[in-house]
Amino acid sequence: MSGSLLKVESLTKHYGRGTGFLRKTEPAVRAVEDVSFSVEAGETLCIVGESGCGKSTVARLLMRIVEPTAGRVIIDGVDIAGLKSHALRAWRRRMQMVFQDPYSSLNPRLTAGQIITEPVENFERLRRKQSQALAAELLRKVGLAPDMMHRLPSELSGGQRQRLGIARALALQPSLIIADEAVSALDVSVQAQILNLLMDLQQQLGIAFVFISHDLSVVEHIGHRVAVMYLGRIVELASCEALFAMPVHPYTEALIAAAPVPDPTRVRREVPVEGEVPSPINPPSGCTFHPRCPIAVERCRIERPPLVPMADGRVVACHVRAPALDIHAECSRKDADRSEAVNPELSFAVGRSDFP
Amino acid sequence: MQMQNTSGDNVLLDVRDLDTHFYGEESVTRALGGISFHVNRGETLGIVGESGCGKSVTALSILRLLPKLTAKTVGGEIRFHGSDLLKLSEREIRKIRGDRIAMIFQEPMTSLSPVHTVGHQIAEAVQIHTKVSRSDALERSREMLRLVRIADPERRLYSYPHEMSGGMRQRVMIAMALACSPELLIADEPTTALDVTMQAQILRLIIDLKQRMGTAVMFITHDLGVVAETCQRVIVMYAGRIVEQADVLDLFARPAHPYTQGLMRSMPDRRHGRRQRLPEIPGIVPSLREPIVGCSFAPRCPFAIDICREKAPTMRDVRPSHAAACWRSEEVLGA
Repeated sequence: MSGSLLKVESLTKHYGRGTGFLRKTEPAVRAVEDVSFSVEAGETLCIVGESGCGKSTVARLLMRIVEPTAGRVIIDGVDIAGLKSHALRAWRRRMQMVFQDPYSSLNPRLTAGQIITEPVENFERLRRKQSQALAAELLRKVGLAPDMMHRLPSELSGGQRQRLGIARALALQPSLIIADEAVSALDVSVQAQILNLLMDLQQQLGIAFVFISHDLSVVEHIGHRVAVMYLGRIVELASCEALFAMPVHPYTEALIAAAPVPDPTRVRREVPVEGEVPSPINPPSGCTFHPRCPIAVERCRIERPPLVPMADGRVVACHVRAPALDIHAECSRKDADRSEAVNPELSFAVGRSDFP
Repeated sequence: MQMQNTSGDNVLLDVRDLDTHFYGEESVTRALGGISFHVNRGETLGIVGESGCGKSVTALSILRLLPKLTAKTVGGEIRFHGSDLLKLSEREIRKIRGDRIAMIFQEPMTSLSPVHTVGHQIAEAVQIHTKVSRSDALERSREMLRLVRIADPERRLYSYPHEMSGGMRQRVMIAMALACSPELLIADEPTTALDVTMQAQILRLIIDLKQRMGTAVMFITHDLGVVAETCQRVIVMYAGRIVEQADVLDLFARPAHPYTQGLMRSMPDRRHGRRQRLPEIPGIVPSLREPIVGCSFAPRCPFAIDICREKAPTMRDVRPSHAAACWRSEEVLGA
């Protein structure tokens, strides 16, 4: 797809590699490993996963807040991962970010008006009248009264501050906004207001979102497509409908099953997955999910599963449920393994009856 | 008619007209505006509401753990085994705290000592309240770590909190809280800082242990999903007052207060249809620094009429064991 707004190819970030003086080979924290996806204009791509899965690092890599170890971030055909700072500045206008904490991401000494016009002043000089008009317009867009421009962040509620953060992101008319846990710190009733605002803005202005969240119900509601990350890698990427109707990767399944559902008549089955996320410094061999996976087979301990395209367009990295149809790999495996190999039909598992 | 059954033998903790104020430089915040409720023996009671509604202040008021300089419980009663917790001396309340009423918090790292092993800390909690030898107390720690399903309890006994993950620390907190077999466990957002798969494990653990030990649990949370999965009875708080209480099935099937109804509707859920606008609760929570005339939810309420803005509603039954503080519950139920 050459028409993609954003294309991410094999993005990788290792922290603290080889910097030890006495120990020449410090172990690297493998925060993000070989992540690839694309974002179309006007769509919302969600990234979900638990803490430490690398979802926030992906956001920072896209914004070039941190430098990638390897990989490409392509916007309009230009790889911004390799750009020097002055060239990068221009591309910053295309992408803006909304942060999780509306308290620490706003300068407490600036007024609301100064906060939201600052991104534009960074690029061009504004006359006082112009900047006031701009501030008023931005405030209106996010549902705040224009006279709020004289207030300080400390005089605003959490929801109002998050609106301000969104107004600041809108100031440069970006085509992509990266929202990192943008509604996680908000109460449910305020969260609904902000989610509605984001959906309205998308409809009116055609903005694409990379929406990073740990909350599956939010993701299911606003996303077009979802990427599920575990220990720095994407394990499943699918349309929202398909993913929530029938998760294929066992981790996706566990995540969905673990989310509390506001329905007391629902009987909870067994705890969906035991144990906890291992350290990204020394991730498990093979499929990194295998120590917690209820359906892991011998092969999962040895060989990392590739992302395999399925019949409904999703990609899944799982030896059992999405076995790669690679003849050579099949032949070279040991006999013991072969007995556990799964019928390749399962890679077209849509509609399989024993999925929840 | 209020639904408090105050004289029943089944009542473990009975809170009446609890009033807690916070004192700022120039203002007084009425964090709790006279709330009444009870906890039955062995039940799981959920207290749910958004930030600032007073749910944590309720827990801290019960255990008298409020910051001494800035907050004070100025009125009400907390009856526990025939005595009023508010009238006990500091010595007496300390005997109850941790022994008969225990509490776990959202962030275990702030409530665990960083310089002692977890085995030592659990044993210390046991020794404060019971006359047992050091080795018996350590044996109890070992048993508790096993009970909260910590892998390799023998070794973990000698671990420090920083060597553990968030989920494991919360298990240690639970082990410590339950070490003296309390009658009431107050859990204040115990899973909010955890990931969903860990949250599912910890919730299951609390429910299992509650059933095994017969402890009553007061579960404070902002998450209606957690309430639905763990609680038998629920209290909904808004702006320092209780606005509704009911059995969990009743509450979710037929919310009788417009705030409860608004909260449930504003949650993203399959029922709304994907990418549709969510029903919002307009406006923001009122400031508790100024006295509130009438119903505190009236400015945001789609059902509000004149009386709502003039006179604060009291709790009244809308059906057996389901009460709401709303002048218009009948209309709300019909909507």
